[in-house]
Amino acid sequence: MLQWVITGGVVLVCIGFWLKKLMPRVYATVCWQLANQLKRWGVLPRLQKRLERRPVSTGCGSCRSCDRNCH
Amino acid sequence: MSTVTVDNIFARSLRVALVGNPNCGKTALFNQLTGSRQKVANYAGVTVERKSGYLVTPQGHKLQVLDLPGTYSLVATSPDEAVTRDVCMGRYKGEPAPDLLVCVMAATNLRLHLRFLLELIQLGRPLVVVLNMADVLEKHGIRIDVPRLQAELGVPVVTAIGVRAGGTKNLLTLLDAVVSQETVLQLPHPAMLSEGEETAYVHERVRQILEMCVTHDHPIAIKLEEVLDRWVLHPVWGMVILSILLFIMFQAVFSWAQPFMDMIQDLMNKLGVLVGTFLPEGPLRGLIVEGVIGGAGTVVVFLPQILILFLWILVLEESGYLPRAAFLLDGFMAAAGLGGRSFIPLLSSFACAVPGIMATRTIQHARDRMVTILIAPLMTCSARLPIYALLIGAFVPNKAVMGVFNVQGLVLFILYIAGILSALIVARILKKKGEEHFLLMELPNYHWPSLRNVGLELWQRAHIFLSRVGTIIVTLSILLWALSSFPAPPPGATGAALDWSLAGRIGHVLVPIFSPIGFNWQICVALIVGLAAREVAVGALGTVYAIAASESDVSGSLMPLLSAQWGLATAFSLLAWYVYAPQCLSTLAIIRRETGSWRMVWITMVYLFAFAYGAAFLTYHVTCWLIG
Repeated sequence: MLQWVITGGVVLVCIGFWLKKLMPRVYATVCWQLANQLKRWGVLPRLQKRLERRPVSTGCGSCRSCDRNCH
Repeated sequence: MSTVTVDNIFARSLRVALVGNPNCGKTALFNQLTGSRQKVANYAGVTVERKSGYLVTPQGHKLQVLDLPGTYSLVATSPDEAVTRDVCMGRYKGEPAPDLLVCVMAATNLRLHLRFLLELIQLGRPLVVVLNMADVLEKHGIRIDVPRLQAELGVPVVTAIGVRAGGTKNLLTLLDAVVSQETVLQLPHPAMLSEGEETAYVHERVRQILEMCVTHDHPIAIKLEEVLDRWVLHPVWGMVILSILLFIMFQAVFSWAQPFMDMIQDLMNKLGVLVGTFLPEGPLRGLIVEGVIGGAGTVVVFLPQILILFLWILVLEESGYLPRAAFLLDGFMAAAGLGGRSFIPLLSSFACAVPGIMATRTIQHARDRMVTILIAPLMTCSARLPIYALLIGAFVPNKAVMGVFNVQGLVLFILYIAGILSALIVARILKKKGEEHFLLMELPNYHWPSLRNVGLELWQRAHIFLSRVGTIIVTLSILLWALSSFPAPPPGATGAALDWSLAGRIGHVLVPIFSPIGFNWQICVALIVGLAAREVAVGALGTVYAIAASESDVSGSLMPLLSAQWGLATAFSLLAWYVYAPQCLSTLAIIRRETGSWRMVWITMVYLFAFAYGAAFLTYHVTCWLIG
C-alpha cells in the first residue's frame, strides 16, 4: 500500500512539473483549486498557502539574459 | 571641458557599461568583475545580448555592470550591434543610458580599437578606457605609454588582464575613485565634424596617437603566429590539418570515453540490483529500477562522450583555431551561398541549436539570417550524441580499420558530415542566385587554452547535462514508466503486458505511419517523448525495454537488448532519422522568438520532418536490400 501511495505521489509531481512547463495557466488554476479544497477541508495549511501563491514560472521560459546554452 | 554632474548619478547604484570591439575580452572582464560565468571564447561574436551583473568595489560601492555585444562602430549593421548602439545612446527600451561607459580595448590591436573609441568620445558621455590583455603586450613586443595615451585621449586609461584573477585591480581602483569623486571625470570633448570629415579625422587621429604612444620591439610571438598561420590557413595543408583534427576528435569520443562509460554503466547496474534487493516487489521498485535507473540512468552513461567532445571544441575555441577554420571553410560556405558570419552560429549549433540560432543576430543580411536559422537544427547538437552513441555502440563493431581508424568513430564522423552537407545543400536551395557576401573576419591571436576556463566550461557542461537528466529526463522516464505499466492487461489476456499499456497502445497507433521506415512501436513512443529533448529518446527506450526485460527476466544494459531485438536496417534508419530529427521543442520555440513568426516554425518543422522521413526511408530500404 505504502509503495502505491509513494508511487502515486511521485507520478503526480512529475505531471505537475510538465504541466507547469507546458501549460502554466492550467497549472496555476489547478494549484488555486487545490488550495481552495485544502482550505475547505482545513488540512495542510502550509501547503495550502504555498499553492495559493500563483505560480509564475513558465518553465525555463526564456533564454534572455542567460548564456548557459542549456536550450 | 565640462565635468559630470555626479549627484544624480550616485543617488542610486552607478550603471557601468562595458563596450568595445568584438573579442577584446569584455565578457572575461565582466566575469572577473561580477563573478559571473558567462561564456567566453577566443573569437568574435560570442556575446549577442546585453548581460547584467553587480559588483562591489574594494571601497564598498555597489555598481551595476552591463556587458554589451562587441561592435566595430555605432553605426549598427546587425541586431547585436544595434543593442550596443541603443544602450550607449540611451535608446534601449526601458532603461536610461549607462552612467559610465568603459571602453575595453585589446592592447595588442590599438589600431583597430581606437577607431571605435574615437566614435564613443563623439557621444560626449562619461568614459574610461581599459587596455585589456596587458599581459601579452611584452610577448608581442608592444610598449604603450599609458600616461601619454590618457593625456591624448582626455579620458582615464588603465590596464587590465581580464582572464587573470586580480587582473581588474586598476579598473576597480579607478571606479572607486570615480564613485567617491576623488577623480573628477571630465566629459570627453567631441570634435564638431561633418560626416565626410569624420572618417578622415579618425584615420589621422589614430595614426597620431599610435605614433605618440605605441612603440614596437622585436615581436617573437607574431613571427611564430605568422608561421603557424602559413600552415593552418594554407588552402591544401590547412584542410588536411582541419580534417585530421576533426577525425581525431570523433575517434576520441569513442576510444577515450569507453572506460568511463563502462564504469558508469556498472554503477547503474549495481544500483539497480541494490534497489531490487532492498525494496520488495511492487510499483515503487518498478518505478525506481525500470523508470529512473532504466530511463535516466541509460542517458547518464553518455556523459563522458559529451565531455570529451566539448573538451576538443573548447580547446580549439580557446586556442584561436576556430575562426581560422571559418576562414578555411569560407569557400564551402560561399558555394552554399552563405556569408562568413554564418559560421559561428552554425558552429555554436554543434553544442545546441538554441544558442546557435541566437548567435545569428550577428548576421547583417536578413535573408542570410533566416537561412542560417533554418539550417542550424541540421548541425549535430550534443543532445543527438547519446542516440548516435547508443546505436553505433549496439550495431557497429568496435574494430580498427588499417590498424588506426575505429569503425565506430568513423560512423560518427560520417553522421556529423551528413548533417553539415545537408545544411549546405538546403542553404544553396534557399539562397537566391547572385547574392554574395564577403567574409570579413578578425583573426584572434593564438592562445594556450586556459585550464581554468576549459575546466569551468566542462564543469558547466556536465552540470547542464546532469540537470537535464535530473529534471526533464527523470520526470519523463517516470511518466513513461507509468504509461508503460498501466493499465495492467485484463485477466486471461495473451501477449506482453506492455502491449496493453497506454504507451503500448499509443505506440501501436503510430506504427502504421512509421513502419515503412522500419520503426517499431517502442521507437514511436520514444519519438514522442523525445519532443522534449532529443536525448530523452534514449531514456524512453531504456524505460520501455527495461520493463520488457523485467517481464522476460532478462537483465543488462540497453545496447545488447537493442542489438538482439532490432535489425540493422532499423538501427541505421533511426540514425538517419536523427541526422534531421525535427522534434525539439526548445529549438522551435527559439525560432519563433528570434524570427517573430510561426510561419518559420512550421517551415522548419515540415522540411525537417520530410527530410528525416525521406532519409530514414531510403536508409531502411537500401540496407534491407543490401543485407538481403
